[in-house]
Amino acid sequence: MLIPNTNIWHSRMQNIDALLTASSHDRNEVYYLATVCQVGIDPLLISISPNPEYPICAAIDASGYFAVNFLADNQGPLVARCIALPHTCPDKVAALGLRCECTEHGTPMLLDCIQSLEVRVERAWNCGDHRTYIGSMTARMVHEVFRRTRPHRFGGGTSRARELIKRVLCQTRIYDLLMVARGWLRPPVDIREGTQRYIPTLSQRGSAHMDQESLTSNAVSRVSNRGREVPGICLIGCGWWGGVHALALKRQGARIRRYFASRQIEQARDFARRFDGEAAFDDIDSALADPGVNAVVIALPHHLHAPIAELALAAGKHVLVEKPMATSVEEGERLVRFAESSGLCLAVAEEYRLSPSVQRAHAMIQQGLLGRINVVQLGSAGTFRPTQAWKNSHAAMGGGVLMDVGVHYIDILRLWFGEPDLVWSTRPPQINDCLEGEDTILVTLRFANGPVANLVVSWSSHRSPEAPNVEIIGELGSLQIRFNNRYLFHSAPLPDGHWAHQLRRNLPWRVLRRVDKLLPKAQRQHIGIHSDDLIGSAALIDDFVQAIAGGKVPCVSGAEGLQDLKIVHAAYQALESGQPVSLSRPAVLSNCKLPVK
Amino acid sequence: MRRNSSPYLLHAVIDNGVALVTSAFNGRCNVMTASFFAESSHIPVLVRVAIAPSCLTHDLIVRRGWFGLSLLSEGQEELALSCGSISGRELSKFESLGLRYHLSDHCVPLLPDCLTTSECRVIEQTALADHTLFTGEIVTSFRQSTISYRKTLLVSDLVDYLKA
Repeated sequence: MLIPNTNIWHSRMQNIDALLTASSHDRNEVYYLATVCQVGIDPLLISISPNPEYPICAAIDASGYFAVNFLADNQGPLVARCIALPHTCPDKVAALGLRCECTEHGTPMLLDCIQSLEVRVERAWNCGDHRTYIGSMTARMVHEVFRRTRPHRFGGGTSRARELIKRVLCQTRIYDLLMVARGWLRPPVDIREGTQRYIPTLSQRGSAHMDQESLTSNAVSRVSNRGREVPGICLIGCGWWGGVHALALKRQGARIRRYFASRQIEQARDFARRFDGEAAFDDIDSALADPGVNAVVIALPHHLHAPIAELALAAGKHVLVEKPMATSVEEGERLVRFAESSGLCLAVAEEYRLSPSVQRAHAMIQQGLLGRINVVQLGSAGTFRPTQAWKNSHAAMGGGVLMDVGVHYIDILRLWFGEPDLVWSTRPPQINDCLEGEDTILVTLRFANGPVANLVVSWSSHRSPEAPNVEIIGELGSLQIRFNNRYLFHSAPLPDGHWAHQLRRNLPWRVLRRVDKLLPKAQRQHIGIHSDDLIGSAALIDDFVQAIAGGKVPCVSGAEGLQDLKIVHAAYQALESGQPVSLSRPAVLSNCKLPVK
Repeated sequence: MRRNSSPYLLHAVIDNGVALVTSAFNGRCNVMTASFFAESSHIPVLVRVAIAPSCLTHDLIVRRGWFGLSLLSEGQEELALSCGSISGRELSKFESLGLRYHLSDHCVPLLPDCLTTSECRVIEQTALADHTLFTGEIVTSFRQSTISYRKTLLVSDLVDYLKA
């Protein structure tokens, strides 16, 4: 039986015990470590991830070297003594009764262990609540005395009697019953929450040490120095759509502190009151100057997105900017470059990508349940007359309905099928003359790996409320998505031996004509969506909070948002020229970020 | 040694645990043996695994953004050696080895017969000299109750097994 793991230690990622040593200012630091691994063969690279709150990290940063000393099976008591040692102990090597030899770089290598590896630090960055170092091996000392000894395993202190009892329980399946019973009594938590329960103090410790460290260590990328304290997020723009973000921010509870900024201070105060805000601001400068604000969510008219995002990045704040991230490609490129050089997080609010429907459809496409995808029909239509003046202005919008609504669908298509290689678009005559941008547009995108997508978005047409927003048509079936439904509709051909096929083959034509409409024509299935977050707005904020607090790259990074924007502009170019536009592959698309040495 | 082994075995200087890394993209699944992995962080729950860019698994992880990490236990030496000595580009290891798996919602092959099996979302990838370091957040993780009393398979166990 598979039992959910409720903390990191259940997953057995820690295997071998070692003592990490480093020297700084004639002081030898020792740290117990079970998170070491090799990460390269030529050159031979070693990686460790100690807790940055221990003085070993300062010693490694200062000296640029460390040694990993692997312990033997019978050195369990040494592990216990090392863990119990106070951080401030001036000479840990002596306190533990260890013998060591220093290398030419001054790194202490222990003599009483299986082997010691000296490593020169090549890269270092903070990763979650630990700090990852990667370095090349400069010296290796294998101790002959311990050659035939087994290594000391993580958690190796378990007694033989306890091991035997567990073995009997597992083999007789009593362990399964115990786990089921425990699940009834105490519902299992996910691995993140369960781990957090074990180390409640870790997440509550201040970030002062980390911040100081990030300022002093030039070996660490700012990308990874995202604060570990409760982050403060300020929503800039308290309009109608700002309310959706505010609700999602409120759902984060105590994980974040909330601030609100609006030109109309009453509006900001109202948001602060309704969504548990700590403060309200009536201008952006004072919001960006507040030291409690670590990040901003920008929900403003389109033409303000890029300038305000740049201001926020310049003030050292992480940014989640509404789509489109800018009104022009040049502006978007400048913003992405600026974010990269600042080392701060730039995310774009393409929440549909995170909606459970889109994610489920993505999994089904990946699993091949629809076969090879041929065509995707998608879009939305309604009789919508913008009341905000800026939405009618082409300059402020950067376009029309495609820039405002269609960009979401383009982002979803890129998630599912990668980059399109050809874009073409056309439009009917304008109905809404107040709107400077287009009120209806049809965009056709061809993807390099096969499918062709037809996107129709309109603010001047009525469409059946039952019509799906997305229909993915593949060789083995089709899938329909309506974003306000709690299910996906999957349709597939009846299998060859199905009774309906047999009836159709065997019944006389006169009879079949009458009963054919009663016979099933396809396998139909409603696939339930068990989430209230139908458009992914809560998941978007959750992803952003993880990005700024945990150092992960957001799902829709600035580079991804920029690529969406480029495709929208290519569609406009095709509209103007009447010719399809060929798209080159993006230079920067991946979410990878390389730590700066 | 009885057979050619993967570089992870021949060039390993650290006696780490042995795991199977799984990945899938566009209906193609693969599994490979790895010992270059470790835990990276508690909160969030992060692990890192280094994979050579020439591996099929590397391509699949880069494209999909997710991977599975399944720890092997003592007694699974044959499985570790089999998955580490043939390439997924040549044949489907799942089929040829009769390896049971089920796809998670995020299309990650999870291996129910391993000691533990975890589903990880890639949050960072770092290009190193001859490997790429994938840092992943463990989203879900399971352990197999029938073998959870066993110890993790180590590289030295594999070496001993080959010498025997």
